[in-house]
Amino acid sequence: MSRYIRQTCLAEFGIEGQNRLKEASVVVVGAGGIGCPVIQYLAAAGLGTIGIVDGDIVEENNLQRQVLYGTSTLGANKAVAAADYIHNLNPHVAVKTYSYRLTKENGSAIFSKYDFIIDCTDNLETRYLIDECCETLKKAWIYGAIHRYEAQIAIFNYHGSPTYRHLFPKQNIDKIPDCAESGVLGVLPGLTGMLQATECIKLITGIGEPLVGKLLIFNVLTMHFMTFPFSPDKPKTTSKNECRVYPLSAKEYRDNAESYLLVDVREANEEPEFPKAKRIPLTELHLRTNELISNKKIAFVCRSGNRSQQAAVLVAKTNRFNQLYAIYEPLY
Amino acid sequence: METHYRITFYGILQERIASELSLNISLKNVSEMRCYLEENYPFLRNIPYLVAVNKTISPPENPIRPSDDIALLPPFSGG
Repeated sequence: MSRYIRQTCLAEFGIEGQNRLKEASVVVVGAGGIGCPVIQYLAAAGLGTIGIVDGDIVEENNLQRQVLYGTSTLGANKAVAAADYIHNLNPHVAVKTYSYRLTKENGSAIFSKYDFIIDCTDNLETRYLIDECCETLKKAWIYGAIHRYEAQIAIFNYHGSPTYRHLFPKQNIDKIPDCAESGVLGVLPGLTGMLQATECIKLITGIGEPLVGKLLIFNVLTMHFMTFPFSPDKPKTTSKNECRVYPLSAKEYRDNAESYLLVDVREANEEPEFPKAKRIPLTELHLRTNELISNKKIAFVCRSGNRSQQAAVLVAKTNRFNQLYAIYEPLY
Repeated sequence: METHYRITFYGILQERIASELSLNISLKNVSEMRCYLEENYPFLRNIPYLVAVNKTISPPENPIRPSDDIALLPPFSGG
């Protein structure tokens, strides 16, 4: 087909690459500044099926960067308007629209119909949702996000490669500003989406080296592109034996008390008070690990040595602290 | 002995802390670097961020030396 001749004549890509694109299906979550070029270039390249998830409508301030829309589509649903654009660009692409937000309830049902998921959202919450759905369904997803003049791109959960939550654990997170708060040059999400579309084509056709196990960051003011590799292994589930927890005798502690932060994990009403100890009952410890931050070694203590060991193992599992000691006998 | 480290910040951390920071302090590994920074910038406890040592994302036990190139990478949010 002459439509694709400029790419099928590439030796690595060829007719075989084109056939693979034709057979592939991809769902794009978010048809905004990043989603528009993803949808546009994948459709132009001849992808078989593209799903588009977006519940928003086109607003005038979107037109500076969301290049599938124009003055005539103001007020239209983005998934629907993007699909209209694609029908004209390449009628051979099957487009499915989901003109609502991605939720916990609909995520798995939508994703299960597609080979790959492309994240073009504008918030962390939806990214965690995509990550969880993709892990359950064992599907890879392509992450893209921007902040002011910088962007990040990576591929997660590809044949068991790390997930987003592996890199950025879900915790009590402060709000990280989006484009509405930070401002954005239209070209930045444009470039980001094009790079994600490139990674998608590479995954589908098997050419090149995809960004698996690597986080790409680029800055459009400096034009610095940097890739930061991360361990291809998922974090090990720490078993009791692997924890870096050292036993500590009462005497060893008392001889060097100054070099330890002593954490008393008994309940608040248990006596006597241990001098210089910080009281964090074992039952509250998982919520209060931030209080353990200090430049000293951490020694856990309780009445007999059981709870101190449990506390040290619990804290070791957070992987945030080292030099954890459990005092294994009564302190005084 | 005090040593000198230079840290580069990305994304929101650049706005909340600085583009670059020099630290005169002795640190053994990534975990100690995190503890030190979180003590001085407590909001870091509520942002999941990565520490790259010489352009490789590194776990807490990874040792650091004064000549190392250290970067703090938070997730980006916009799209």
